[in-house]
Amino acid sequence: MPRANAADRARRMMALLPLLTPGAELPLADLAETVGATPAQIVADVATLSLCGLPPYSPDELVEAFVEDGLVRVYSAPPALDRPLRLTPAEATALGAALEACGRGPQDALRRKLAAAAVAPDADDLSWAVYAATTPGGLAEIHAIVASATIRHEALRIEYFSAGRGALTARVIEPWALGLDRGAWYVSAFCRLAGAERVFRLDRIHTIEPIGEMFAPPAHVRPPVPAFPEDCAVRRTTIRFSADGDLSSRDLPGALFRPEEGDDTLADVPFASPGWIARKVVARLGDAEVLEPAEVRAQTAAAAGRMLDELGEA
Amino acid sequence: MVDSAERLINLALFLARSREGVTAEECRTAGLGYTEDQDPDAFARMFERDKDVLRAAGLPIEVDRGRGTEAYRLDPSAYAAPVQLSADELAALAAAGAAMVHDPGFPLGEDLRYALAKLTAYADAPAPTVAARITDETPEEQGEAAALLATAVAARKRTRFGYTNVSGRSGAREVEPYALFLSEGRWYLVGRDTARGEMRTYAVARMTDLSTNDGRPRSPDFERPADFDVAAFVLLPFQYGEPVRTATLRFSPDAAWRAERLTANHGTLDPQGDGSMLWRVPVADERRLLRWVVENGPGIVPVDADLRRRLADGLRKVVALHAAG
Repeated sequence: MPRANAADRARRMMALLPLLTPGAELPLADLAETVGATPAQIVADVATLSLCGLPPYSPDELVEAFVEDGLVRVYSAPPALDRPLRLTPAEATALGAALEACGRGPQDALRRKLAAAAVAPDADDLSWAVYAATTPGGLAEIHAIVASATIRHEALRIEYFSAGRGALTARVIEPWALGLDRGAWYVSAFCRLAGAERVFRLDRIHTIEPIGEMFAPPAHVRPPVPAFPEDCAVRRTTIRFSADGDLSSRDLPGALFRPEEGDDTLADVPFASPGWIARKVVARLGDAEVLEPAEVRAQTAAAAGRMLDELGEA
Repeated sequence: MVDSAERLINLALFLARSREGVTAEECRTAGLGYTEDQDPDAFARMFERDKDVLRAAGLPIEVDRGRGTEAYRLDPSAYAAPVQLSADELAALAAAGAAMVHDPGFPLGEDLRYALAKLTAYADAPAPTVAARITDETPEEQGEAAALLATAVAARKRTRFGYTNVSGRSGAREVEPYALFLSEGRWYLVGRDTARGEMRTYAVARMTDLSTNDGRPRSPDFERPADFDVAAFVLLPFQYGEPVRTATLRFSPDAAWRAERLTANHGTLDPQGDGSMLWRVPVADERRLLRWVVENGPGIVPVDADLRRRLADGLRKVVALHAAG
């Protein structure tokens, strides 16, 4: 067996040991998800672990865990390594990067708490080596409250900055699912103000407060729509981009492009909200034109007009 | 014959149980799975290899030379202390985990998974429904390259790659990798270009034929300056390139609370008496600045007369292009 595989398997089995608490009946699928293995690998790991122990290998010095009916049944605590080991530098780096992406910088209280408990002292200086600075500041608290309410099915009162109106609106939402798209977090929710499903960008939420009222979520929740337009039943618009507009396909996820005469490009762009696509087109300041549908053309002209008003240049 | 995985776990348990440390000979004869009549040199090689495998798997094995012969045991700080987390903190952690662990664009998914598995407070926490896409092009390739670079950053080993810059010029680079960051759907490497002797930022998606110096993995090729701060290299979309000016923008009173989030510590914010906020920020690309203003508005307008004029001209062009009929 190559050494890399032996280390992978040893790592996985050592990660399983602290999870084997006496009397536990652990679904194979849960353990498999926790350590990133297949259920078949967990069955093999537990079979091997049940042969492991300490000299003289008396029953109280063995790992007593067996697989039965899709469950790992644990009869006694492992003779050693029954507590989790500290995080390796790579694990600490990964955890730091993931929390960074939720708006938690190096000084964040949760990150410091985890580092103090879980990270070896000399690994401290590595935790910033991968920096997932994907979100603007001030997001951590909002992210935590939304994530928690999504799990508990608790309604939230928010003040939301709606790009269309350019003002804050107070609303109560029933949060369903979170989505992270290239640095921006979204939540899909039932909005009681609109009486319909809506998607909110977390960094546009000004204030947030759980209202202590539980809701029944729908059987199937969709991830936030603007983050994944190609996955959802959305409409499409045709946009012409002029040659000098430095067009990047990265700006328009899911779009199909075809070159036109005179170096222009025609793009077939999926969108969920006409306001979103109109703002994208306005932002190109004349390098892009919506060809159809007429509704998006009109929204684009209106959005540009509102900005001229705002500039005092109408 | 005992399976090698079984022998490794037996050795790990044996080392973890011992407080004073155990010698190689004690390990050999304890019945962990080493054969009794093994050639001494073959055993020595196998024992070294086993310790390396366990260290690679995250077991901190310490060597004690105090007794004349080497004894092995776990580092006294080997175990994580239990942490108490609030429901919100657990939920935030679960959301982060659920988002990143399955995203091929996140280079450290496996390490993140093990990190979360070790946080016992987290073990039984329910996770929210989360979907994630942290990179928007070639996530597998970017994730793989970023994983290789993260290892090089941690071990401070030089990397080589082909690179095509924004103006289309290609060439081979040798870089001392200082840090990786993720921004707007792309991974970036910050490092010192050894040929130019300058700090540079590279988009990982533009790299080809990436390799790192594999020689002597435990001896670093370079030292990172103590005052290096990766945050200084993470710029707003209109700041990449040579700065051409400083622009002043105004957040309206309704939008002033958004300033801190949107400006992400770039430039200087100056609260005004009427509740608005002035923001002075260095700019490398004026067109991208105006695009940023529109995409993040309403409530944000330039103060500088030339930028206002340029924005108004562009907006009039949009209105004319989309006029009815």
